[in-house]
Amino acid sequence: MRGMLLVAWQELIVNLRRPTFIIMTLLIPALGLIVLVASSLFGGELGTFFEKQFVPSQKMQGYVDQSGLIKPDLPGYEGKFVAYADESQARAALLAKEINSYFVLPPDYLQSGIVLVYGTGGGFSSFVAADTELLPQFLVDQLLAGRVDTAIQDRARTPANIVPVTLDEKGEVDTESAFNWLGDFVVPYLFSILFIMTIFTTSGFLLQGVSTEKEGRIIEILLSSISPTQLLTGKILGLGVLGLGQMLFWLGSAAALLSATVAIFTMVGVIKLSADTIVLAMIYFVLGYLLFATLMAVAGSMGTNMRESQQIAGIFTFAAAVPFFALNLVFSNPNSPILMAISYFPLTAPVMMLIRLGFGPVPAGQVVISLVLLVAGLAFSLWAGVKVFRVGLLMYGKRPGLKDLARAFKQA
Amino acid sequence: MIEVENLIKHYANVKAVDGVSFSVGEGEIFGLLGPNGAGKTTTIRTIMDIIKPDSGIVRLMGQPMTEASKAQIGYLPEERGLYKTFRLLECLTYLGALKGMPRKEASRRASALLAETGLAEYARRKVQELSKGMTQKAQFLAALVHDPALLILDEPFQGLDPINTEMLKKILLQEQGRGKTIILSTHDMNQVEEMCNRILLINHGRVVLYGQLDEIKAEYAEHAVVLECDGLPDTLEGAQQIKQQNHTYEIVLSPQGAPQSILRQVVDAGITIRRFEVASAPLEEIFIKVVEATQ
Repeated sequence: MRGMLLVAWQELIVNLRRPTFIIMTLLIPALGLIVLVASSLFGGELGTFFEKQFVPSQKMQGYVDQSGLIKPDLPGYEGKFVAYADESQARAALLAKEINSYFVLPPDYLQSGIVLVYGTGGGFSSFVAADTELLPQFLVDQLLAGRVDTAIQDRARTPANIVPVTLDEKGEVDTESAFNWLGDFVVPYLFSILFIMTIFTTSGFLLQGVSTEKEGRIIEILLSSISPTQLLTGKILGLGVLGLGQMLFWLGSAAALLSATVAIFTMVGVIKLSADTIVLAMIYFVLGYLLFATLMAVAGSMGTNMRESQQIAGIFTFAAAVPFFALNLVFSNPNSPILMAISYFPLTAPVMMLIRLGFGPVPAGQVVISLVLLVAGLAFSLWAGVKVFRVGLLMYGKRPGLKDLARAFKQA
Repeated sequence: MIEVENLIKHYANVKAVDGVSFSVGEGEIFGLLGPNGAGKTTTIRTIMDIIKPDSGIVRLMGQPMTEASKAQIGYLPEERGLYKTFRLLECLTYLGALKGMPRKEASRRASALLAETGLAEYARRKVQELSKGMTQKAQFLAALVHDPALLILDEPFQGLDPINTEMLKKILLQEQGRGKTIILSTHDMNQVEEMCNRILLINHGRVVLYGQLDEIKAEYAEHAVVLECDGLPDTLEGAQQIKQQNHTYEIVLSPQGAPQSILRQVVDAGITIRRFEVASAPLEEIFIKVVEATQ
């Protein structure tokens, strides 16, 4: 026990001093802070600012009106649209890069609603160049100007400013829950992103540490003092505490930034996080970390050098990232059988379940099955990990083969 | 201090250690010898509980080896290294603490050992900044830092210059003087002859020679004497063969010949004798002879 705690403490101290760890830990909140400061400086125009960055240029859009509905001098659109008598003129202006794009309103526009948008550089470029937000507004104003009341015209342009209102169990308006979706989705999603980052940093340190000890021939001295189990568990514990500390620091910073965001933008209500979601997220984080840390340590013990160990570890890190490839499925059908399978498989379960939890309640039965399999997977990886660890650690210049591993299972 | 009883260890179909038994008494310097691949490292790793034997018992101070017993042993493996990014004192303190010594005490003892070996000024330097010789010495100190009752040293003088070798030998003899037991595994037969009381020679995992070093040497010695003098009498009764190298003569005696008789004949001839000794076989010769015979 003492040996394990000593190893844990040493791992904690040594890795806490690593410049990469310090930079990584501080960088995430720093980025959040930069975004927040930029937001407050730009006010509500931040979105517009970014939007402008993606608009190809400030050039005008051309149009050819074959329907006879367009009034060229409509107030509010000066300098944004330019009329051409026919398509050949508009096309020449487009090719001469005088305009971004041009659209054609055919004679039967009122009946068909079809607007042909011409641009250069492929279909997507044409679509972007057409300024899809401005064009419908322009057409609504053209259709309604002078025909209806200006208030109706404004409403037709922006028919709904949606304000979500949630009722509590008594039917009362629950002002606090206005941003619950943010907590229910953002927090697990944030957890899953941070979880992956912690795998890549903390477990990466574990792999690096074991690999360095093996390559540096320190292992035999360590094993003459403590057992492989103590060494492995000590490393996992020490780096686990480090990873958890990093997570808590990130979450604390996120909470502080979120509070600041609420204050700066005078959001209504307080973001209320679901306790169930947080508890489950923490459970998945801890179990998932333990599983990956064990596998990383084993990978570190198996390689003859750091590069080889990282190649072995790549199998596990890929598994951790698989749920992100399945994000589309999560959006379309969070309870699909494929997602359920990924939620049950121990290597993918932690991240997948964290993401799924964000999209609404996951049936309790599925959570239980996933947790049971995850715990079983962890127990197996610890049991097998110690045996492989013992064999791998003492094999210098040679990777343990299947026969070596089989013997390790038989003997230990 | 330590007893090893019928140790057996297989690797696949190879018997790396085949029924090795020996014991080492308190305060002894014991030589564990053998050619490369003989099973020395496996024997040592098994004693240290780094690998599990197929069968056999290891007892330390009369008790079967346990995890806790490791704290009583200082181990310098052949494949060795230190944490390169650690400061030297920090590294030795950590390794001492892992052996069960309180950190403060480990740090104090490590500082004392560094001072004794001329490394005090490097205590705060990172291990990677040390020269190869300094690192070798530091590795040696890592085995000593927790003040163990038994030291198992695999090639402790490897890569050291004569001055540092002498320094470490002196430390080892001091430790022996403090009642510590030392198992020395090395290919340097001169060091063994100089330091060890008893030896064990293994080949192909089996014990091929075991016992008191002087008795083994006597057993393998030719029936001969060595004389360093200015010539020999024309006839020497009891001499079967004479080998000369400059002024040194090795006289192989006949079965009836006696060393005293040879000495008397040379003295009576009025020849000045600078050295006279009963010949004994060098350990290196015994090593080669025994290993070749057991191939």
